[in-house]
Amino acid sequence: MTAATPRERERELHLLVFGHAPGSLAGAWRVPGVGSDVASRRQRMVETAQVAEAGLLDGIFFADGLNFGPDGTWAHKVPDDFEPLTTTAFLAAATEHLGLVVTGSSQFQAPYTLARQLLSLDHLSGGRAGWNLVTSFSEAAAANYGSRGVVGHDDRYRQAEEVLEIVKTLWDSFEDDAVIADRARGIHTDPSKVHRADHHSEAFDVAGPLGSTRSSQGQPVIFQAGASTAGTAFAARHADAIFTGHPTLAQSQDFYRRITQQARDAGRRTLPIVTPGLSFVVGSTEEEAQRYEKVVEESFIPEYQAAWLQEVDIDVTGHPLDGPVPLDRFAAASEKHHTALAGYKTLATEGNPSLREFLYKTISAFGLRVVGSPERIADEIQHRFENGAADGFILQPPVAPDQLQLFVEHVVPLLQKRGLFRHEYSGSTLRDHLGLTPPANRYTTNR
Amino acid sequence: MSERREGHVLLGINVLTLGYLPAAWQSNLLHTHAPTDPDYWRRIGALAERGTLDAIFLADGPILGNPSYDANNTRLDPTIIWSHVARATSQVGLIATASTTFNDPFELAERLLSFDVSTGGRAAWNLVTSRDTGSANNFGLDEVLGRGDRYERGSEFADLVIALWESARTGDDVVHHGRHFDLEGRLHVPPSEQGRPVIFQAGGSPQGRALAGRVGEGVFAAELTKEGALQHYREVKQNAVDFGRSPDAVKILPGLLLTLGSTEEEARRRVDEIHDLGPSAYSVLWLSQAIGHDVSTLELDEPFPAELLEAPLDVSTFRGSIGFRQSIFERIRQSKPTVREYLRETRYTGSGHGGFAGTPEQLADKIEDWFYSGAIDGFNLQPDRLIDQLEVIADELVPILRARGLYRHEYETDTLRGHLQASSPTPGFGRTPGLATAPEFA
Repeated sequence: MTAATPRERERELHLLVFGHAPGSLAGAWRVPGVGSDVASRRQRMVETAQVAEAGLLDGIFFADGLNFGPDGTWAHKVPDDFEPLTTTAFLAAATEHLGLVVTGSSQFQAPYTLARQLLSLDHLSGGRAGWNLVTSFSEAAAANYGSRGVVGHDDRYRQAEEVLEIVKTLWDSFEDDAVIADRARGIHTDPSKVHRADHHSEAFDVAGPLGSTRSSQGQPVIFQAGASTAGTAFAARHADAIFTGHPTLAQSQDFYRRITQQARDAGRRTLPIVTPGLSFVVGSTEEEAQRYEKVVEESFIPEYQAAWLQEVDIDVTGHPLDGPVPLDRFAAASEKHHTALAGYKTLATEGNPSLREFLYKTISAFGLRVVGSPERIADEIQHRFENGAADGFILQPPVAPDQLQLFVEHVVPLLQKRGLFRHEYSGSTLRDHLGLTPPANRYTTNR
Repeated sequence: MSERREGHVLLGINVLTLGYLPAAWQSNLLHTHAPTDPDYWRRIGALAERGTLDAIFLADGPILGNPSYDANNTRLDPTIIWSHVARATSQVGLIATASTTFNDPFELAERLLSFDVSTGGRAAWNLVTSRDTGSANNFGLDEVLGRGDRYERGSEFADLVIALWESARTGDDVVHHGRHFDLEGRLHVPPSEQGRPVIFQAGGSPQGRALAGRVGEGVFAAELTKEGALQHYREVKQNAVDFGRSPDAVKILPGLLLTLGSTEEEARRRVDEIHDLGPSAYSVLWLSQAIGHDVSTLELDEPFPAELLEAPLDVSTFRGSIGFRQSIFERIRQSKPTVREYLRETRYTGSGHGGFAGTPEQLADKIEDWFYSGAIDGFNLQPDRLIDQLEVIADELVPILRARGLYRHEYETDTLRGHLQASSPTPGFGRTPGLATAPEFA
């Protein structure tokens, strides 16, 4: 057996937040006080990051679907899915400690470009970058990328594996002592410590080297979110942190056990950090939370949600919202989205919800959602953290920064008082926050 | 000239990381990791705003050069650097180079528009088609395409990017099935304060100038002589008019390699000092690449052989910049230097891009002369070393230009397109009613 990792000896709670402003709720733009002009949207993004940093969060997380979503959603959404790399580079100048996690597709972006952009962000943020590696399943995303079609499920992960290897090799192009800056002799860099990737395969020919040194955290942190068998296996081998979502404690514990075991089996000494999504509505009191929940309900757009479900082979559009859930409109099986489909079926049958109620339940995907007082939310976090279900959470405030602000004011102090969460940042990089050590440079190791 | 040209010049800075001279990194003013240090980049942005400059410009190639003597080959992604600097500045335009050969049009359109929103409408895309094999090797290609194919792809790429930016405004899908790209979709990023990013173009080939006339709003030109500049200025402006645009819709800013000193001698001494720190082979290698001929095979103390200067250019094999090559040969034909003299002279007069070594007063004279002659709308200044020369530009050159009525006293507009359009109208074309100076926005 391997020795206990530092994380096992002294576990720390990790909290990240979805950076999407004005919030994770699609109808957030309807909430009174949320401005729609571009300047106020930019300002909301900045404030969300700054509030997250004031609350000592590990990082802010930007998803990116690389497409505008199903046609049926267009009428109801704000076009504010900013490209994450330039957005986070901008936010890096508005924050000092907050980790910046961006989504990047292993299928649609050239590995050289991915490696270069992520390393650029890592440098400009002083070692705070993370890469949420997605394998991009949607046809709609493929349609935005010229001729490259959608790759089959298992092939996607084989490709992701190769892309990750190329990207990490490129990140190591410069050994840490390559720059000698000998002003007298005019020698800036020792060329024997700069390495070409020279990766040549059926799928990729990438020469390298990358035109920059490593960052202060060595390499960006790898996040991954796959839930399928292939996705989980990939995450267990490669992810520093895993984004997931399960409604019940038992399901969360089961996932946590499996992924941890798979990581051990793969020979990993530092196990992946598991951070499920956490949707919440909080107020300073239970009553205030319930009042806010009413606002969220009123702003919610069921037609929008129904249009999204078409993506996972569920088509309930046009059915009466106050009637029963038309279960015959759920695909019997789905090759691409089997996990999601099964989760939604459970939501649709438990407690016999109306279609509207079912659609409302789906806003947290099928992950954890808690509405209530600061104590209630802190209790749920603590319970899952202490019972082998999570190492932390990615917060999904329905309206941001408003709800995040309340979380930081009321929930964070409770978590601190209970000895679960930091009282100050102990380091400056995302790896520092997550308790990860910088990876050794592969070329230095091989010397 | 019967009537003096109205309005003011445009001033940009071609940052080239630390400066255009490869030995810039050896200065004690810079610490070792300046090119990757966010503080360095924010400092450059702040200095540019101190001088109320119109824009700062970052060239790019997705490749590492020879890192043993050239720290400028540290190349982070310009859109990411400038998005970072956006937060530390509020008015200066931010121009990022990106290649149409090594990017995907959807991804780049989304990235540039997000960048534009982050900057509050101060972003520009400098469109390049890339010409080096080393970059190609980083993207699974053995060679870059020939010039014709590159520009054909580049042109389709530019149209598609513009259509996607428009889709962000109109909400309509782009349906495009072209020779190089198939795309059905739209962007889900809001238009910025200037609608969409400004487009710059830097190539001096006929294809490049045609593209600039059609879609360019700024041209980063390469001019060694005023006569050449005058001719190219008219040509690009005429191209714009031929495409139904106003001549004012495209602004022309040649690059100018720059060293300022309190006397001309001091400036020349500074050039020599920084040059002599760098490897001696650098200028030979640079010139060889620029003219497509191995300069080390030439007699150093003989003039350039006439057959070299007159030989027709084989555009199918030449990988260098046609604009640079033209301007270099023009200069050599004019002054007939020996190879050694030329290499020496180009330290002060530039090579490819024009050069200048002298006092701020003398530079103001040159800017004034070229501006009133109708050869430029402004200059893209390329300091030998940014960290100290940018202060001289902001604190000495700019006040002189202001005193002469050639430059504004403060920012008068908030977006980059606003800055460009507020500069002096094109002389000699008259005002053509009905022609658009800027893309229209809701």
